[in-house]
Amino acid sequence: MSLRIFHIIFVTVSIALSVFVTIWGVREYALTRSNGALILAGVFLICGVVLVFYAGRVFRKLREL
Amino acid sequence: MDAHAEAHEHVLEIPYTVHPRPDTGLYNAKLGIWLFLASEVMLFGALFSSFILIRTAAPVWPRGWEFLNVPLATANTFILIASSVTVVLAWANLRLGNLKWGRIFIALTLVCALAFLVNKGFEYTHEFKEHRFPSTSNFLAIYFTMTGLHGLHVLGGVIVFSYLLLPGAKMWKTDRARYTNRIEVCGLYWHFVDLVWIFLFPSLYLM
Repeated sequence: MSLRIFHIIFVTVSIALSVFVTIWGVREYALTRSNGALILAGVFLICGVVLVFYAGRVFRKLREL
Repeated sequence: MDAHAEAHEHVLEIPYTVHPRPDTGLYNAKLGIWLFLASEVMLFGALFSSFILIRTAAPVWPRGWEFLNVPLATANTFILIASSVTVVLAWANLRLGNLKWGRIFIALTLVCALAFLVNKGFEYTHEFKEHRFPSTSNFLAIYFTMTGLHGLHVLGGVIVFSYLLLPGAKMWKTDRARYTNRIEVCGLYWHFVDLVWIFLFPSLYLM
């Protein structure tokens, strides 16, 4: 497996982590009214969106290498 | 060329340092790093399995979220994700023949790795000040063992990237393809280290 493929897998797993933490944070907020959990959810939601955009733009370029 | 000289030349040349072997489809270093990473999967796999077994068997289990430094761990997560991007950009630039930008991205990867370790240092200091040690509880024993071992792997990455950024970069003048392959191999190791953190973060800090 090349670095290119491992990077694609890593970014995919990172997007999955972002989705997980976002859901976890919202659920935690619903249960405990913890503002920290809601902030964490927001931060990881942004991270997930950025990673999806990054994946869309960079993966195609990496395939050309 | 006589037979002796020809044989001598063959002894000096190590095959498949740049081009893949026909039978494995990999060059030597890449095969080596994957064998090493397989052993690392077993090491961390054993630790994660132990963690799951201890946790599921415990009647009560503390939540890292309630007392660990989650903002610092979150920052470290983003730092490692960013470093995986910079290491790929370093390799991509070297493949395109651009040493200058390749080295800049290697340096950025190094900065990310050092920032991770500094944050970890702050985090450990905070835990020790709160009198939380590996001997305090099963959770903290697992927390310090797993994050400590992961931190050692990050330190290993710092050493290797420092070498490749400074003295190791001389190889670019003599053997570009091999130097680029070295960065790819280090990038594979670095992605593995990052991937371990992606699993450590929710396991220890959130749940």
